[in-house]
Amino acid sequence: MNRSDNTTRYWRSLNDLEQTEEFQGMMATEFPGGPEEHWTASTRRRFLQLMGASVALAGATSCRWKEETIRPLATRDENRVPGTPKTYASHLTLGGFAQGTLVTAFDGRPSKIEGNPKHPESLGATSVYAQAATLHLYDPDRSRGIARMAGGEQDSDLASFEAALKGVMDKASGTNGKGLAVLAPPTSSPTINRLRGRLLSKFSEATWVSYSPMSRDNEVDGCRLAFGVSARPYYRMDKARVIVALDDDFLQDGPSALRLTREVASRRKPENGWMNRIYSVEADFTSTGAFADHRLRMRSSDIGRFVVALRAMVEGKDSSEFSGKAHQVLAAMAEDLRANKGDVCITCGPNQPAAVHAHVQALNVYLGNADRTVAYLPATAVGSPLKEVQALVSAMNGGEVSSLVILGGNPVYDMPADLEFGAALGKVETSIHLGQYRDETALACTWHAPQTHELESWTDALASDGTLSIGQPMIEALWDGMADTELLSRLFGEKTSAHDAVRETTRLDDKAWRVALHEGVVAGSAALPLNVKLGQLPEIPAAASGLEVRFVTCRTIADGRYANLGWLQELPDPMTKLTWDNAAMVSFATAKSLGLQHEGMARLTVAGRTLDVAVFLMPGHADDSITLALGYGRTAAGHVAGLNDDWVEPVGFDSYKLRGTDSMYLATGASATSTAGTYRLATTQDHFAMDEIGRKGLEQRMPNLVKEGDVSTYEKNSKFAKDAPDFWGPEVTLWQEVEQTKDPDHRWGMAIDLSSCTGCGTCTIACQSENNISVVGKEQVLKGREMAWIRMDRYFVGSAEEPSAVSQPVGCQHCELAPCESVCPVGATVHTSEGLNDMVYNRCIGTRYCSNNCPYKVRRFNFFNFNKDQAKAGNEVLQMAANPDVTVRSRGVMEKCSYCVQRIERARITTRNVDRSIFLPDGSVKSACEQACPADAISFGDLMDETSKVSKDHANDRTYSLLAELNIKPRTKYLARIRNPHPSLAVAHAAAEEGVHHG
Amino acid sequence: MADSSAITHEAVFPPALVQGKNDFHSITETVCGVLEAPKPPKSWYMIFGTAVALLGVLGAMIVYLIATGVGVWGNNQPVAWGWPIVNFVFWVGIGHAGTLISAVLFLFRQDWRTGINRFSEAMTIFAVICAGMFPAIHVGRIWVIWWVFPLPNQMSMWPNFRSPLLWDVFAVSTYFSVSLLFWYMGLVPDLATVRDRAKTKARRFWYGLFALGWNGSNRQWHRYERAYLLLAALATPLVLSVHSVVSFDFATSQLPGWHTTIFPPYFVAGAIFSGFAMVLTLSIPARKIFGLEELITMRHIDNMCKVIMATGMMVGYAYAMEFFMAWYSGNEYEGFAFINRAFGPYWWAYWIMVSCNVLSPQIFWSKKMRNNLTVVFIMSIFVNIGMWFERFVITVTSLNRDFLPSSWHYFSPTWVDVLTLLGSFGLFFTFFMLFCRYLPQVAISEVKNVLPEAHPHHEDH
Repeated sequence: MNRSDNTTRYWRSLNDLEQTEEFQGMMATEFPGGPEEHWTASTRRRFLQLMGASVALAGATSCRWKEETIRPLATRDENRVPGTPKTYASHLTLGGFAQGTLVTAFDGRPSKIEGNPKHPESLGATSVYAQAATLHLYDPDRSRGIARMAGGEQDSDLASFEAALKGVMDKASGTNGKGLAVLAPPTSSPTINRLRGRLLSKFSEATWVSYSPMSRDNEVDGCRLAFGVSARPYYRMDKARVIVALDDDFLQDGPSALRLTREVASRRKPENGWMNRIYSVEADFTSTGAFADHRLRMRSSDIGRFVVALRAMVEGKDSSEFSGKAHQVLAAMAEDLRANKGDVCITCGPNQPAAVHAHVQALNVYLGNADRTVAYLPATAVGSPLKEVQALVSAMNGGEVSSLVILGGNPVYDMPADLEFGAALGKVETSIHLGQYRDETALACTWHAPQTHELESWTDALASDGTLSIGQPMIEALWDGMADTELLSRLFGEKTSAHDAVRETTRLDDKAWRVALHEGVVAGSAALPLNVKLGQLPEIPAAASGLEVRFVTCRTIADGRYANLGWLQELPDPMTKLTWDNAAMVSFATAKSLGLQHEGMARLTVAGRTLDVAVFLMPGHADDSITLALGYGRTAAGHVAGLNDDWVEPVGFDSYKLRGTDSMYLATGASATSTAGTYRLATTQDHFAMDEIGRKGLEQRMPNLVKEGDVSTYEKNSKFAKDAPDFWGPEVTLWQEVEQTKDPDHRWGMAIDLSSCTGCGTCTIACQSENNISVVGKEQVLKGREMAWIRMDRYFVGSAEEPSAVSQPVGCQHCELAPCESVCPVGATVHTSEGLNDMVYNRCIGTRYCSNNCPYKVRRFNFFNFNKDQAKAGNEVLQMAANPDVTVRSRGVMEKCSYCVQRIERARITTRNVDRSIFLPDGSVKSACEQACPADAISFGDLMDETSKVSKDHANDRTYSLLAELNIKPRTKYLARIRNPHPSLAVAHAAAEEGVHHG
Repeated sequence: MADSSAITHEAVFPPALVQGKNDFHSITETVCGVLEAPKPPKSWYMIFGTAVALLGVLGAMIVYLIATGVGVWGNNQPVAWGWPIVNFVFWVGIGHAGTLISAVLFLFRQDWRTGINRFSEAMTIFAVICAGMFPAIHVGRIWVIWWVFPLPNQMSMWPNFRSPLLWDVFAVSTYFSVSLLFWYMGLVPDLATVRDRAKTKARRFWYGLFALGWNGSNRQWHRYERAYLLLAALATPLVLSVHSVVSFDFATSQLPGWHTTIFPPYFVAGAIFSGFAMVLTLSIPARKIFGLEELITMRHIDNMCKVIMATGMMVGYAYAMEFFMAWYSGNEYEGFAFINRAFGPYWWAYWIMVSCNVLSPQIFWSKKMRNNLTVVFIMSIFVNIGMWFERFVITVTSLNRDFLPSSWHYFSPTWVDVLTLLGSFGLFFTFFMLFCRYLPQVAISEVKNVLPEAHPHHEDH
């Protein structure tokens, strides 16, 4: 492009020859903007050839060229069939780390997120958060443009915003950056970190503070204390025979949760050889605790003591620190750890202080786990120490910060309450907020610019193992959003696009870049483990007595960033089954001693800060401990989670108001008093406090509904799950069975392994996204009208104090003799020859008889037009989140799981087009729940194909049908859950099993 | 003692069916007097006014329902059928007494039926109208409700004949048409009487139109009685079939608490039980207001009390038998369903049902009580309440806790549920009060038949 050389050259246009400013400007960008003749057909064809025919390779076609998105498809590209989905590799980040995704887009419109099997921290699975990303993208409450916030919100334009940025930079240039501060969430993104370095080197006096309200940085601090280096433990659990989770919900929390779930679950199948044994010592009842073979409830404050005692016991000394069950578990745990040195794994959760983490890692090293089940990787995405955050706030208060750039995040809402960040922000002359919503922070700043969603912009980030992945935009930014990298580049007076910035960071050549985009990961970029050496361990501070308050990330809306996503608000918490709220989780005994009532109100006090919050009596919660989920009580989130400006009440209670810099994850010395009033909490399952009759009935039937056994039971009789209760009659049928009368091409079936299922609920959200399932709202959930097609049933076993719990996903079982079909007066639910129980929406008149006759109660009725909001002015964008292959149901019709029939048909069409074959190889049809499941607990496929995974699962000894005695022949079968208790604790467990089951 | 041992005429022969000094003419005068009076009694206006107001409420509720969605009711998952279906079964049950009285008792030559048959047939028609309304409005998409009928259409759609709901459609519509026909046929001679007595042109025209040219010729009477007998024979099986079919909605499903073979006879007994109770509820005030005490006599009331007592005990037997079978089957879901019914969250509904339906009718063992109109009236209300609760107990308590405890959910009705039920009474009483005012409440010609004068060779010869 540079015309400094005088050699003869060809020119493309007069502008080129002249090298006009316009032309140079156009060429400076990777993909030139402007009229479409610059982008000729031949170059595109060449381009596509280069990309190859591979669907995913075409990923780069989704880059943000204005031409691509605004040009009508008057002439169709080769191989492009309108309405055919294309899949692109990308990623989504949470907590600064990437999880690889494959994004399905219809005609340039992303509508479904799947995991990227090639990404080390996805392995094909996704989290609930990732599943909801499409809804996030199309959230109508997202900010729709630049606004000047000082003196009242006022829409503005890019030019004025850039002028404001220029003002900031001009001022900073004069002072070498003094008075300029950037507040951003911690991230592993090499580009952001590069630009950060560049900014700090240009302005040596500027400050950059990273803050996230939900970090796992205590483990980094712990490693620093133990090893003297900044490292993060990276667990590998597929080889771990014994896993000890200390106050750590590692199956749900943290950047490796998906991979760890897969690894742990892979060793929970008794027919595949040895099973791991999981111990969980935790305060609240988490999925990890429910999944564990042994769970010990313990205040977070006492975990430090526990670690010390465990270390002593592992070293062969006896410890009298604990007594009773805790001591038994401790002894068993120590014995297991000793016996399996090097093949064990101990994790520690974010609520634990750094010192405890240091001791846990020291124990891991002591047991020889380092480089076997745990590696120490250089810490990335680390937030600034709290001191720096405090320093920034005091500088803001002192008027030393004249310009603050907030790059995403919502600090006004989620900073510790004692910092009073909002007030400090008011003292900053120019505060610029880049965010997806005009949220609490935006309202308190002087400028706001809409931030692109990760599906709208080029990003890069590392997986927790250090593997680099590139996030591709799937769609032109909906609301003229600006990427964080783009705003940063403007701080240098440049207008580098996010694409160029990322490309510049990665330094990959064209081919490597395309491969990286296609694969979704940059091969071989994983970090090398550090060689760590144990140093002097710090003392674990003495456990504070009295009431503690634990702050945890919400399992459905994270730290509040996803609060406005109805899917996630309505996703029941894995353990409490609570929707649309958070609450103070408290044990029965503590509630009694504090005088708290379930669904009553309590006033919590921590260091002078108070919060009035609803109380939830949680079975199995540690005594003298209260768990509060963060992320609720938003006042400027949007029309779903709370918007003061539009009279939308906040959903839930703002736990941040109770959080202080001294009590980020754990507040000790708290107090709680009962206050007047009650509060209705919308749970999707009856709470533990059920009447005696109901409890007895539940207790009696549970062993036949969720079949469980110990390894010893399994070894004695591997087919124990097939044992039938006495009252089952002979199987006689009145109807001629459909599949005998026709010759089907396939027999679709599903198998769900309860031994692997962790109850996380990803299947529910995956299904919601795939099948356009409506959100109904808290009032309707209270009435029992939630719409989930696959729900996660959770049952407690044992007493209210020491229960264990099981999860069971239940969707339509596609009975061969479906009771729903015979009772429909209009034949709106019918059987296909392939065994699907089809629901014909247009035929349904809504008698709801099918639901009455469904023993699983998996049918869902549209009591209202739950999609009405999508038609409202301004909300139309929500319609884009819908899967075009699935009907959006109208009011008054019944709906239910279809076994993802649209995916079956899609695969059938594709296969027939390719080779005219009716054979669909196993894996060519994956149901949405199966595809998203991190534990690989669900298999779906053709039962006629004896080699398919589902056929093998159906042939498994552990397989049973739910409610088989009704002789309805469900096509979904369950595999009994097998526990692997320590022999010394197995007796105790068996005794508990004899005890009561509760719901 | 000597007095009581004396065999009285009363003890051997029941009291005459028409009391007082009535002859053919006076009966006509009494019955026609009601509809020929220039103004109905004040109480008629009060009841009719209330009924029309409630009918207005019903209309408003239905408009609200159709405009908004079925969610305005308390129905949920798992209780997909709530009050509307409870009300449906309740009204169908009430609609039973009419056919029983007019057809079955006719075939069994129970002459006492003549005083109350017109009345109860009218009640039947209106109760079935109320009943039929509920399944229609309870569907999610009322605008396509016609798909339940086997109408050939361009969409090649055909209903599913395996569904008990479809059987319901036929059973109820057949019952309604036969009942209407039967009622109307019986009305024809009486309408002619009213026509003949009419003093205004309008009355002459309208009653004349519906009297179908009846002139009371021997031939007409002959054919009339033949047809009446045939219709009675046709209607008799319907007494058993309608509520049996309604019970199939429940019995053929596999829901514990519904899936029981006892349902058809149990439902029929319950229906007769509630039907007679409703006849009492209506006739006790009506005979007073319209001065029909001599036609609807204490003997009628006494007989009806006996029927109520008998059917009440049948229903009670069914309640007990359900429990026995639940235990005897050894099926834990079945066992739970019934324990839960009686002692679970809806225990109160169950015990309201038992006390109203089984315990309270026992009072009718006493003749004194059967002859005490206040007691009988209150008991009839109790039975109505009890039978409504029976349907509530069957529908809601079975559904709210079925197989998988994860789906258990308590059902609470909404204000729309309550107002719709009240409104259905408005619909019923609006029709009924119009009937009382404009049609002969007692079958004039039939009552005349049971007068001694109608049988010149009776007794004395």
